[in-house]
Amino acid sequence: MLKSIDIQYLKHFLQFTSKYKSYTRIGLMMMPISIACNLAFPWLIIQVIDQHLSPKQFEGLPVIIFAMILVLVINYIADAFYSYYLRKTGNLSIFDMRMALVARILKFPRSYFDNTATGITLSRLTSDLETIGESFVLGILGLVKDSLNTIAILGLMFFINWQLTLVVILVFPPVLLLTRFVRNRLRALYLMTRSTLAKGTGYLQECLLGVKTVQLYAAQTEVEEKYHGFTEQFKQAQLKVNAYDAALFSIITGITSITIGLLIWYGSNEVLQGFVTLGVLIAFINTLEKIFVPIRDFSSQIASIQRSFAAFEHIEELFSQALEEDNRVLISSEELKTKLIDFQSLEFKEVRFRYKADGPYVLNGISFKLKQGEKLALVGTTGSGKSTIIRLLTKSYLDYEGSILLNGIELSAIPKQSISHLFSLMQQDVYLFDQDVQFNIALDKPLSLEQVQEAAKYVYAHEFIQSLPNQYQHQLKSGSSQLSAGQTQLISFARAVAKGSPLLMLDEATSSVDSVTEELIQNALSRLFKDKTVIAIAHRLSTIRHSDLILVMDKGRVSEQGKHAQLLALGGVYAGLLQEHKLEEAEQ
Amino acid sequence: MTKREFVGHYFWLNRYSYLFAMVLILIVSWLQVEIPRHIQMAIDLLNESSPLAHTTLVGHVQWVIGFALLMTVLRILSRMYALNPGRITEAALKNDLFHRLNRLPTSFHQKFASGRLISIINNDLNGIRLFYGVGFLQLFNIVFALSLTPVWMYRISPVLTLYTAIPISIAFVIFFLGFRKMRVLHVQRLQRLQDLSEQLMNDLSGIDVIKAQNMGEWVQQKTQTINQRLLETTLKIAKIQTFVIPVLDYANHLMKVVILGFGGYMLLRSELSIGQITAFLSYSVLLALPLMHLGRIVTVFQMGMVSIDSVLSILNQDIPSRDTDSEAKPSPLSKGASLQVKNLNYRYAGATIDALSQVSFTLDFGKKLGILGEIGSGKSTLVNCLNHYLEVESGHIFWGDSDMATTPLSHWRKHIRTVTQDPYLFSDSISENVKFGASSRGFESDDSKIDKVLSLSQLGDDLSRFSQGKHTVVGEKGIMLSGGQKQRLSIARALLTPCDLLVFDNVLSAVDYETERQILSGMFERIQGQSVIVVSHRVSALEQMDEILVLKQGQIIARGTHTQLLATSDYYRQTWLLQQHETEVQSA
Repeated sequence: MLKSIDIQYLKHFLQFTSKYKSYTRIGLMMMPISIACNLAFPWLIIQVIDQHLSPKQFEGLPVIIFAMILVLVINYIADAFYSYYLRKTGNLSIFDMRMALVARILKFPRSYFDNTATGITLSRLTSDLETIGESFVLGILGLVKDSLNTIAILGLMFFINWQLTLVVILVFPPVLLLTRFVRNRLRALYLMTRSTLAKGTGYLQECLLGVKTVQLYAAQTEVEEKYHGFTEQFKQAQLKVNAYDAALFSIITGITSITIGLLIWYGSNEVLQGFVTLGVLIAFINTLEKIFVPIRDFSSQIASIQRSFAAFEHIEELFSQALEEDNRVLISSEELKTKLIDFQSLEFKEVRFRYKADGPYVLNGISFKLKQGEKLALVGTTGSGKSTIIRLLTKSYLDYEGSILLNGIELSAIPKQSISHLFSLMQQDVYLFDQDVQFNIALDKPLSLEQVQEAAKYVYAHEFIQSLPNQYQHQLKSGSSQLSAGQTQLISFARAVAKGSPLLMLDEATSSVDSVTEELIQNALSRLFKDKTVIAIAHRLSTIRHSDLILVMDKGRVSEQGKHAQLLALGGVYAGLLQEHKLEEAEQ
Repeated sequence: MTKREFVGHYFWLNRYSYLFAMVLILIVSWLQVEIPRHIQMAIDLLNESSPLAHTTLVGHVQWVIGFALLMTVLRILSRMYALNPGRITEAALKNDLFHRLNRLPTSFHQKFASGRLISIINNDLNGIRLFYGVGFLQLFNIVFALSLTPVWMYRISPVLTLYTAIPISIAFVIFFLGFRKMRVLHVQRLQRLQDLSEQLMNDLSGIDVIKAQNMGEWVQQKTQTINQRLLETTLKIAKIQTFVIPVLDYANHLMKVVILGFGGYMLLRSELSIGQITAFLSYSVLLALPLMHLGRIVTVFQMGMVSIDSVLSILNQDIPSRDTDSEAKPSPLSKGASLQVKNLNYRYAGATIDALSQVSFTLDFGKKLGILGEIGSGKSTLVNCLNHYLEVESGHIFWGDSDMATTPLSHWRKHIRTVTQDPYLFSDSISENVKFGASSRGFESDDSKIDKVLSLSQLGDDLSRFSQGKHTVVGEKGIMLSGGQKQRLSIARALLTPCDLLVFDNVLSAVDYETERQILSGMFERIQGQSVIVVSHRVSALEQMDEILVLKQGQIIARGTHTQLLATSDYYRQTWLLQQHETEVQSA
């Protein structure tokens, strides 16, 4: 039933609960009290019938009745405390797990996000954790309590009359076989429904995110047909689940009634011969429910616990996913503080890099040097490795071979958080937060409105921001098309200006901007560039021409490097590229 | 649709299932109360030793077992037929919702984040499934059990029946007070879960920026707040569930005490037999289950109502009347007509200035129109008006004689196809993405056609580098492809099936000038008998157009051919000069 891996998950969960020992203790202390009450009650029933009702003896009856009420009150209190405090522990632990997971995810390497759809990570953090809260915590609480109660009651029954107990136990094997059979069927169906549901939900999610595309392509009937397929498959499987569920429930309820019949039939002889008292027989009949109902519920409790193990498995993936800076020898940020106040120099020495261990090298021996205030331009075809250089610098990807020295320190030994203040990255895709414009420029740094406006003016974004309904307080929404592509890029430039980092990196950042606006931005940027170090991936000659160093990249190597004039004089690839273009223009 | 209509609609959908289940449950409930009657008679015979009494006793036991067997079979059927409607409704509703979401206008999708819609379909539908499944099953069960059982009890002893009602009535009041509070809390919890989901989704989408800007702490703080709020509600619910809800269960035990106490007193006065007390105890067990379920069922109905509200927020959004059932009808649009735009104005909700004002032009069939303008000048707004992504009043946009405002969307979009600047791809293979929507438009696509459009959009070379060629899976939102590849794939998708007007909205911003020119001229060669609109920042892409519009602040400030505009428009000339001067390095 429990695999060793499940026990590991359990241990991990228990680690989270250890913080709340005092609650757990209160809850667990209540359990024996509750079980004692559960035994006392049927025993008192026997006493009432045999001592008072059968012999028609009134004296002492009120005392026993009062005792029964007392037992019920204690049982209620113990049960409520047991459930509440253990649930509290469970929910607090889930709260902590969620926070721990979010903290971890923020440190996951880029490769994790490349390989994992956002929706999956999201469902780990929400529905999987909720499943643990509902299925696991409640399932375990119920299972533990029910099984202990059942065993205790069986023990009591056996103690009172073992013959009658044997009659009850006689019914166990078929009940157990039945529940096991149904449970196995349900598990198989459950696996199937889960994957169908996941596929259907995934597809639905995709279609809703891309609803504009669906509508613009008038593809509604096509996507609906596909979705109906998933829905139908899921429904059919669930109808089967219903049939099994119904059978299990009804047969066990039926068996309870049959057992009562058997008890009376067998008991009738025993009562006559005085082996069994009437009270015992009646108490047995009344207690059957307490034995069979838990047995019936076992299967669903176990199923829900199993479901929660699937959730545990998902969550464990997040816990075992290596953080990007795990197992790396890093220099402490204290030590680095003085050395990384400003950008001084950058050197690539024979850097090689590939995204996957068995993939091709995207960078294959790159070497160059860059000093403070210099401008570097990266030129080359798509896939030549330009963006990869920037991704290594921002530490989005680690594990390069060779050496990258930032201010003379090996980049791989610097903690990521110690370099983020050094650079601003401007890309073609800009992410906007669901916050106002001011936040989207300042991000989480405490900048005044004036400072934000100044940054916006610097990149000519102030004008369009002023035209928004609430200007700088205008709420933006991620993924919505309130702003044009060009406007969002202006926001990202303002972001970079506001941050004021010494090293600016541009990855084709101006491609969605029209020429006139770009001209303005170029002017602004060149003002900004004056005392900054710049690494730019660009295709416009004006950006490239004035660079201190141009790297012409080809298939992960630097095929030529130097200044514009040098490269032209060289008459190689760079010159060829320019030449080709000139000729074409002449033709027109 | 009101809530009542909704409930009625899906109830009616399952009317035969429900009717059958109701009849079965009635029989089962009757059998259920008959069984204790036979137990009672059997027990009263226990103390009699005559052979006749013994035969009668065995007869009663046989009745008990026979009834139990019959009850089992009927109950299996009743549960299946009562539970299945839940799944059937769930499936039908999923399809209905998806159908509507696919047809609701842009204004709706801008208001409702897709994360929220998915949460409704994933979480709220569960509530509705339980409502129509377990909800109605238990409702029938409870109605019959609670109406039959007390009658049978009353038949034995009216006085004792009344006494036993006391603890139950008190418990009921407590229970419902707790319940009212829980309903509010459940709504709150779902809301908070949605908030959490939405926030985590946003943070995961912006993970790159968050990591690069070291904003981890900000994210954790936000998560902590929302997580804390969720925890608070969850714990409040747990408190009610553990302290208030079980009160009913204990009231049932208290009933047993009352039966033994008062019943015992009556027995001593010979008003009751011991068998009748046993029967009363059995009936109290029979009452226990429905009473316990009453709690669950009220939750189910309350949650169901909350969920129905959520779902109605989608179902009550009207699909414009022109679009209902339009897909089956023949298109009112004639082939080969001209596109006419007359005095088009557009203002975004909440904006203070027009995004478009007094835009007028005519595009004759087979002609090519270019649109140039700075960012925020209204180019994309115009495109979104033309493809009816945005709502435009009647009298402004015409295809031949047909007014766009009154033409069914699906037909309009079969004639007018847009390639947007942010292409959306499905996580399927490249060829499936190219085929997207083709079958909805009644078009059979074969491999050769797909290859052709892939090569037309200059994607052929890229594909040959993928090991699986056009069967390569592109990942979520096409994550495996570069920006330029995504754009070219979306062009191939647009070219696969014929249409009357193709609109390219700045689609080639991520490819270099040269590739853009190649794609466009290749396309123009092939697409004869189609009108084309190209929006671009690049004069080179617009030179070959029959007419070019220059937009500024939502107005057409100049129009004409390339040569005409060079002479008449300062903005056009300036852009052209900048780009001429801007000799670029090829394939950067």
